[in-house]
Amino acid sequence: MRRYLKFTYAALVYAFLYLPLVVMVVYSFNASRFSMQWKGFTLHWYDALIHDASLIQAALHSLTIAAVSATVACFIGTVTALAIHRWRFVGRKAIHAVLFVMMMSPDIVIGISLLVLFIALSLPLGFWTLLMAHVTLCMPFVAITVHGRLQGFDPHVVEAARDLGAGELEVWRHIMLPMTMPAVLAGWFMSFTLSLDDVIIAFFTTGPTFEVLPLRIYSMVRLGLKPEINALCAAMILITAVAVVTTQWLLKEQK
Amino acid sequence: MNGSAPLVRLQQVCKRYGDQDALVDIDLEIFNGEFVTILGPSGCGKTTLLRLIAGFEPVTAGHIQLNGRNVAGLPPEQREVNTVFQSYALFPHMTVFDNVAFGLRMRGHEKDEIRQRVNEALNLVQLIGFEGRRPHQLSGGQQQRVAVARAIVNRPLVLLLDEPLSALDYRLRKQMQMDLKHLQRRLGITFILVTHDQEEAFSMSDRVVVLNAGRIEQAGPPSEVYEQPRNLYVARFVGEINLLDGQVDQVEGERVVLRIDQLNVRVKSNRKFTRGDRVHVLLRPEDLRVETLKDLAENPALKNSFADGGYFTGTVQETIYKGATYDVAVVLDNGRPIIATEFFNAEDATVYFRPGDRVAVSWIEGWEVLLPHEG
Repeated sequence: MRRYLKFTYAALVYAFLYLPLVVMVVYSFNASRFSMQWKGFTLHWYDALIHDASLIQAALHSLTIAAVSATVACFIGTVTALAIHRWRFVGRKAIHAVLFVMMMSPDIVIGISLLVLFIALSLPLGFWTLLMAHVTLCMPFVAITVHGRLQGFDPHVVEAARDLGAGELEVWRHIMLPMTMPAVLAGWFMSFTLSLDDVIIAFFTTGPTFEVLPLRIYSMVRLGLKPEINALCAAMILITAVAVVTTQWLLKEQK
Repeated sequence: MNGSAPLVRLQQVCKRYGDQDALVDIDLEIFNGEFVTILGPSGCGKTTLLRLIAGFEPVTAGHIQLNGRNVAGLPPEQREVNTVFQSYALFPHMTVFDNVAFGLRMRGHEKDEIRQRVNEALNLVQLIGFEGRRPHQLSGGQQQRVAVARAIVNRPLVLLLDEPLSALDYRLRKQMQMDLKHLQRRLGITFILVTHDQEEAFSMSDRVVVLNAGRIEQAGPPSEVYEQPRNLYVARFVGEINLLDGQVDQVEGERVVLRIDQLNVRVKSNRKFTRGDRVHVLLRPEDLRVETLKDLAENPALKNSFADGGYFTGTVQETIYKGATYDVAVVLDNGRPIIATEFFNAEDATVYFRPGDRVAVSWIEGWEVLLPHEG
């Protein structure tokens, strides 16, 4: 009986979390264009999707921005984490605190503040502004993940390497980098999903020359829910799921 | 020992953290092939001493020489010493083989030579067959042995061991103590071990250095430190002691007559005392003799052999079973608590004394240690 209750409880939690997604995925295979009635299975919407050039264009933009901003954020974030872990310098604690503030800040605040900044610098909104915005968004996540990993190290490991004849450079190459790599990669996938998901910051910081997928979907939905969008979202869920599972796997490997 | 120049020489070494003295005026010479243990409570500076020798931290003042060469300013990677860390500090992302090979690779040895020497080292610590494992797939004892192999494979002049056995359980620790000692004899490498465990220090080392609050209290072979402690601190740290306070009444060369309470006691000491000096008499529990007053009254022969200079009387508080021996806790009539270790009789394996028994306490003349009164 107890077991049964536990099972029901877990099932309810999962239903609460995932039922909307399931409904959406199911309807992406529905042969009806307008009604919510089930009219039979079809792959038509997926077919329509890949033939919609502007949608594909937006998707490619999104993937490009996600990949580039994740890579840049990983680089800056990792260096930041290594610096605040390895050396004691003025402002070290402040940097650490600011990273958390950035992580917690509402997207709308980041978006508007960046917009104001870009206008002040009279930068044209487009690829570069969006890239900078997403690097800002993702960098703290990478830095915190990598820093957490570094904190988990036995501090004597570096000393042991020195003791065994490794110079500063060799310590970085053979000890610090390989040991932080799983966290860096996890940070990359996390950044990738963050960037791919983002609507609010992109709304403020990109221009008509560079449209990304979430914004495109947003404008499509304003004209009514179309089954193509269901199909598109189902595809994005798949990409996100792969990224999340990879992140988890990498972080678990950190033993 | 080569009898020649010391391999490690510390002269007036001081280490200060902020305004806190970690080590003060350390003078120490360690010879080739010696097994030296630095013994002290936590926070006494023993690990700091090791870190100074390894080069992880600079000395505040004084000199350290390794093999006749001043090592000031020399980074750890250029010193011919290796360290076994308390936490082992194995490289988690490398296999056992790569961990052990690390030092040789850093020094640019040939591939074949590396393979051969790593195998030798793993063989010495009985870890053949574990080459491909990662540290987290090994037990604590195995990790410890990898840490030892990783250090000795480089054939250092000195191996520094920072409480290497403290994370192991009792049985394994005993086993590793013997293994380390045999390894040291076999390799002939100088070992400097740091521990807070006096039993460990005594059973493994040629020489024990007792450290307290950053200063060396005494250095010498284990038996000397145990039997002739230089002061109360050392005496207390290296084992249980009983303490009696007295005053020198008479001095005839090495023989001293003490007045302890109402009793005149004859003792021996190679220290110089003069009449009227206040002294401590140190007695190890195993050096004390205890008999019941009842037995002494009934058995004149026993009484004659027991003590000619008189004895203290007291009451048994409790007995503590220790396996091969048992401890008798006695409160003397002057109020001082005493612990005596008794062996079980061959014919009678039960605890002889009962709480409440009136007993006489004495010791064999010459087994005591006399120290000037402190504080």
